[in-house]
Amino acid sequence: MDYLRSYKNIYDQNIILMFKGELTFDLVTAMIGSLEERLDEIEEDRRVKKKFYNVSTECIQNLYYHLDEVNSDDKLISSFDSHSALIMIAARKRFYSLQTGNYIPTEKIAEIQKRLDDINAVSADELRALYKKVLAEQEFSDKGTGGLGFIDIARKTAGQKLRYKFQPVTSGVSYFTFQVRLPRVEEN
Amino acid sequence: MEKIFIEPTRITPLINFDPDEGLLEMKGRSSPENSIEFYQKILDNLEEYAVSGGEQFTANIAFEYFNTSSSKCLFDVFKRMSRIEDSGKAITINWYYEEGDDDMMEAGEDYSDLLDLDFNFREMEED
Repeated sequence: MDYLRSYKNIYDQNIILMFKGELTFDLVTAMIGSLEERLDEIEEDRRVKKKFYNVSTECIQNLYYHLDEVNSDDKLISSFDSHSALIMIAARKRFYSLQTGNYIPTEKIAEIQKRLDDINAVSADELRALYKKVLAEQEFSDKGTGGLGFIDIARKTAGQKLRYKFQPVTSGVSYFTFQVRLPRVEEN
Repeated sequence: MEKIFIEPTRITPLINFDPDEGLLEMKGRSSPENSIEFYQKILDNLEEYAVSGGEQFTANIAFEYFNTSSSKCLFDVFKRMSRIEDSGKAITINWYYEEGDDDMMEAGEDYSDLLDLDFNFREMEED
């Protein structure tokens, strides 16, 4: 049980936030607040700081809105776990890595994957057009989300592909891992 | 129509709606838990302004950040402004953004373009 070693490992990877558990909205707000304070210390570029605030807020709020979708009576996933989020945010030399994980109903995979693939397939200009189209045409979901989250994240991370993975857990439940990189230096 | 004044928080913007002056100010950050609920009162009042408000209307918008859910609400806010304009009133929309914040400038351009509204784009110097 060498916690110091674990801590140093984490430190060496420049992880600025690591979290596993259920989310409340206040917790989300507090997390984003502490991320912002950390960024003030480590990031000099004002524009990157803003983009980071934007992308991290969108990623974490997005998780928060979708955590209640798995109602697991399954013995394999406890009810705590089924509503748990996993968040890992790391500061690398050239980019920030934001990674989230959560259980989702398997039946949702096709829809999410299509949205991510559609976003990854288009150029920056087309992404802007797609954002405008969804902004003007799509109705709010029951949760008050507007279907713009992933598009916004892709726009703000300047051409970085949205990485994802779906892994089956039980017959009806899968695990969704999402990762995006936010460049720290301007691409020329 | 009633005056609305809401103090800003770290997740909600300052809101100042004054129907007597024909003025709406929104400033700061917007990522509330329920953005529809937050913006509803503003939407209702703008709706009413189109019918019974004065002949002039000015909006001063200066966001530092808004999330995508707020973005949809803002689309509805501007849609109401478009109705105010359609009702024959003179409308001025000033869109402020921090120096170098191209993302925020583009966000304003998107609303202006989608709803065919004229925006005055005003870059603010960094503090």
